[in-house]
Amino acid sequence: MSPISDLDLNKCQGVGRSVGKSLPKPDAVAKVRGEAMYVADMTRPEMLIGKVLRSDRAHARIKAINIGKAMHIPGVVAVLTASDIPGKNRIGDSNLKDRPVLASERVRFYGEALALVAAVDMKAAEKGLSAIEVEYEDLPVLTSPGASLEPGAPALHPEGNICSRRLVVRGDCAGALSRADLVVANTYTTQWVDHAYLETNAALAEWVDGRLVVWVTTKSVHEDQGEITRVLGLPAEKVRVIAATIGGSFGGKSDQDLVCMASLLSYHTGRPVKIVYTREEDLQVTTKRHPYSIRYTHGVTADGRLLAVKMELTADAGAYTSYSPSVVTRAVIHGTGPYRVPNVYLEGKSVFTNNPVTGAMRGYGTPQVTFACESQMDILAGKLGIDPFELRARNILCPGDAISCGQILGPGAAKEALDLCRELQVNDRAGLNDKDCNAYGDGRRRKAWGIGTFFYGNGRTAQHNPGVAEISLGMDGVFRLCVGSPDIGQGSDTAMAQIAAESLGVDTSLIQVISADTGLTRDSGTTSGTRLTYIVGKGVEMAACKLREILMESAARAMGVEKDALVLYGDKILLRKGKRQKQDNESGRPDSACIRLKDLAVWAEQTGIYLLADGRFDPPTTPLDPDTGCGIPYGAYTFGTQCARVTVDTLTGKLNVDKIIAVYDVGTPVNPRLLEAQIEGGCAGGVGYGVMEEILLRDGKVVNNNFDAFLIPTSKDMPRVNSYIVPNREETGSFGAKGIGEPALVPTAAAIANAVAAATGVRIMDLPITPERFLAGLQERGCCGKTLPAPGAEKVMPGRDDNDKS
Amino acid sequence: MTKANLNQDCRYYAPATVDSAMELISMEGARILAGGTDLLLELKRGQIHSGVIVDISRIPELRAIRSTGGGSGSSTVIGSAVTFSQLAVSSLVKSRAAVLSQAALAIGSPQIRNRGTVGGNIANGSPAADIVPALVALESRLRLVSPGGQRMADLEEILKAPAGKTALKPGELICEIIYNTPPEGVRSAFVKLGRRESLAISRISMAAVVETDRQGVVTRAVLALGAVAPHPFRVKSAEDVLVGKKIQPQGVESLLEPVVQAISVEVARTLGDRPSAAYKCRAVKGVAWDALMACLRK
Repeated sequence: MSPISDLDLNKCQGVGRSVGKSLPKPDAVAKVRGEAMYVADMTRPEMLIGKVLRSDRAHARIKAINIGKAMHIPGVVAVLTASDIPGKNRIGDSNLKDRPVLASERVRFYGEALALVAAVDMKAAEKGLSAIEVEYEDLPVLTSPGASLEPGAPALHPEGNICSRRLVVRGDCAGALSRADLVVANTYTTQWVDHAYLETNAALAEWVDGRLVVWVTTKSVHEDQGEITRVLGLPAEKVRVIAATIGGSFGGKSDQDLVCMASLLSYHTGRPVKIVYTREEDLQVTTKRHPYSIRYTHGVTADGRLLAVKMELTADAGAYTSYSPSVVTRAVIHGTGPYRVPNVYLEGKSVFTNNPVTGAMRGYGTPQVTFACESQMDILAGKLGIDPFELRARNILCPGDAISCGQILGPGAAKEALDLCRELQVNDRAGLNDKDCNAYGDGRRRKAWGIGTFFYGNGRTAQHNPGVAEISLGMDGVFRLCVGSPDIGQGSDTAMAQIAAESLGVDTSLIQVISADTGLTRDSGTTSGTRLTYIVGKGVEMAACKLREILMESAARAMGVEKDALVLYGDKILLRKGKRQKQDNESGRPDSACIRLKDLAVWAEQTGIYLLADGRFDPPTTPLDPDTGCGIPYGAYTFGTQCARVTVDTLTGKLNVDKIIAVYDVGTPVNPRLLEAQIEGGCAGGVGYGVMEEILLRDGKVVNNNFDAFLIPTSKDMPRVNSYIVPNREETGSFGAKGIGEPALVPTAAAIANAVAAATGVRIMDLPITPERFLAGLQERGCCGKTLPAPGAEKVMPGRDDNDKS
Repeated sequence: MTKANLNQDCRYYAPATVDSAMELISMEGARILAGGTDLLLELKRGQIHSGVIVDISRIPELRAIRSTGGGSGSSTVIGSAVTFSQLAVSSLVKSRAAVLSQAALAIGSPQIRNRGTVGGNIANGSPAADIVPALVALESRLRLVSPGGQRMADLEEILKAPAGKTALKPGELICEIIYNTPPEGVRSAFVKLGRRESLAISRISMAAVVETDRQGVVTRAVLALGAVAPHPFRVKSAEDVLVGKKIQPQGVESLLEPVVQAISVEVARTLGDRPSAAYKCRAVKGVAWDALMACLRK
């Protein structure tokens, strides 16, 4: 099997003339040259600069906001507070809408917005901000779910401090645990992290011909439009939201407060207003990945079959609901890992605190769970004396197996991916015998491989989330494909064009993609949940296939021939060989054996036929049973295994990730180069999550609020990533394709944690695995450098496996 | 002399000679701009509201690396506005004082190395300055110019100040950094431990310069640590352990063990009960080991 980069594509299933080709992203060159226009680059005549006054405390009652002085600062055009909001001062990703655009009575997190200033330039805007006076009455700051759940803790919302709960129960978990030959229970914690996209959040709102037009860096223009219209009290047709070039998302850029604030300033001033967050502001106020505390209890038979998994998970929701309920639901459903487990009790809750709001981030609640679950698998393997690959192979989900919530799987290739990864890793011995290994005493630098296996449901969890597309043929002979979901930089526009071209049977160069503009595209859902290729792609395919039928019928009419006698080739529709001249032409029609697409479009225009079609695909899911959590949450699952090779310096605690092998079942690869790029980028996010990234909070304030202190891996920290796919075909997906966006990141941290344990015997149960944490773990085990155990002879840190029973 | 408007309250000057720089520096509220990697952040954050910014990066004599004297008595003279990039590629520095070019390369990223200067790294007074331990290990001296004249000072003397400060006098400009060019055959190395491979502040750094005679006996050793005290400093106790020892291919490890131990003891003393002490006392052993091995390994 060769890596994705040298795939012989003709051998891949489902590969055709467009799908399966490594076409370049058309936006790549402009981005590299710095020519792409981001919101920050946009300017308009008479444009004002907007700035946001933010609370400098995490929890307080607002007694007064005095804007009188600010109004008189030269250059300040408007100063707005909550009372200036014409519609509802409520936004939110769920139906709950529990978050104000501008706080008026109480602030619940550090940096919550209180007032807005629009001014002729940045300096005046900043002076205006500093002239606003806020009187607070401090309230106790709840800095953790534990603090929020203590009796007597102040309620952050009317319903109390529990944001959401989700339970998935199947079989008899307690009974199975009592029958198990081995039970392993441990508690894991994960940290706060930020998406760290290169472009900070930004929006520009302006009035154009009586309509508010908002340019924004976003995951969903249609959700933004909904929030703006509610906040401004405007009808939908008065608000048009367009996604500008987007400089990265990774799940972020889904908070709707910014678009509402820019819109509000433009609404009141009548002038274009641009707000661009500073990095410090962005890191403080935008949503983060949930930190979890996870208690896992696994029960197995002596021969390594999983009998039961119990998981109790608590997530910090931060100050408002955002995506917390669905993040936790996804985490719980994926709580068993990609394994056959007959008895499950998986419980998750999210809890309000006065910390930053947590929301969607690449992996949507599952990288945390995968780190903990895969650590458990390696601990079980060690205690049972079974090879970690073998233990996974004995339990991995196969076609026909039920996942945690009872859904029966179709033909997935989880086992094949695991087996290939095992084969590749076993054959990769390079570097394991480096002389470096013995540079200091006996084995100062230790090297080992670790495994992370996972699965990931494509699309939103147990919800309707149709992918919608429209495609038409213009009189220039070019197809216009309209998709509502933005290309956030990952290349979805390119993938959608490839799917449309393949379905139509034309070259991709004939497809023009228009995405994420509420004035031109219908809502095809957010760019999230690894749903674009699988769900929106299928909608595109359906639209394009429908249009192809219309084209052939129209051409048949135009040419006066039978539809079956025609074939689409290049930019023409022509008569098949042997059919030519056999049929009579109606008078006035082109007398030839072919018709060019653009001539067909002209003919259709004159004849009154619309060369236009739409498609809609909603994956076959069901809602989850409210009591047991059982149901069909996703239409398809991506499977994969990553192996990470690490070198740990047992003196300094320095951890290098030397190499990653990533093997995936993504069904048909639509664009192998983009697929590989997603995997490599995902691994970078996973390496950072595993060893380095951590947002540090002090009373709800982000302490490391710029990239000098919030560290993410540089190119020098990234190892080589060898990416592979196993052949498979997802029957419900477009040309057999499934998604890769989030799955690319999910198992990396888990693989690193397992590699560290395999190399040194030190099991770190709290992310990130920093040098300090590693050395503390090493010292707790009582071995300092020279008396390390042999690789593989793992021992769990004392005090953490208190429920062990062997 | 060029002049530009920075904003309404700050005036920017770029003098062409040290003399005209001195005139400007003696003005009230004057700040010296070399590479700007620290000063520009202060400006951006609004921590500097008014005054005179004196850009010394266009003074030719401060941008040169040169050698003076000859034979065993030669010195290397580095202008204070020499950038880390310049330092990293200088063959004079690379061939005789690898410790310094390695330290220059360990700083920030290419963009930062293209801007940041040797003099700025010293004057900023950061405990984690990467160039400083290397210069301490080379026993550098500074030529300082002030309106009243000029003086020579040992770098270590200038570092006798609280963290973030130096013992430079008001109005003094570092013009040159001078060290005796180590004779051929002297080995030196710089090792840095950061939280990532580049764009990382040193958590621990060490610079080592070791001289051995023909029999392999260590005749001279200067060992300097960074980021474990208010300023980089020499660990004389560890130097004493090393000097006089005979290096043999087989016994290097047992020979280095007490040196590394002495360094760790010194770090425990400087860090006291700081939260990072437990980690750094152990981790410094790895850093020291790597630096010393680079100097002693055949």
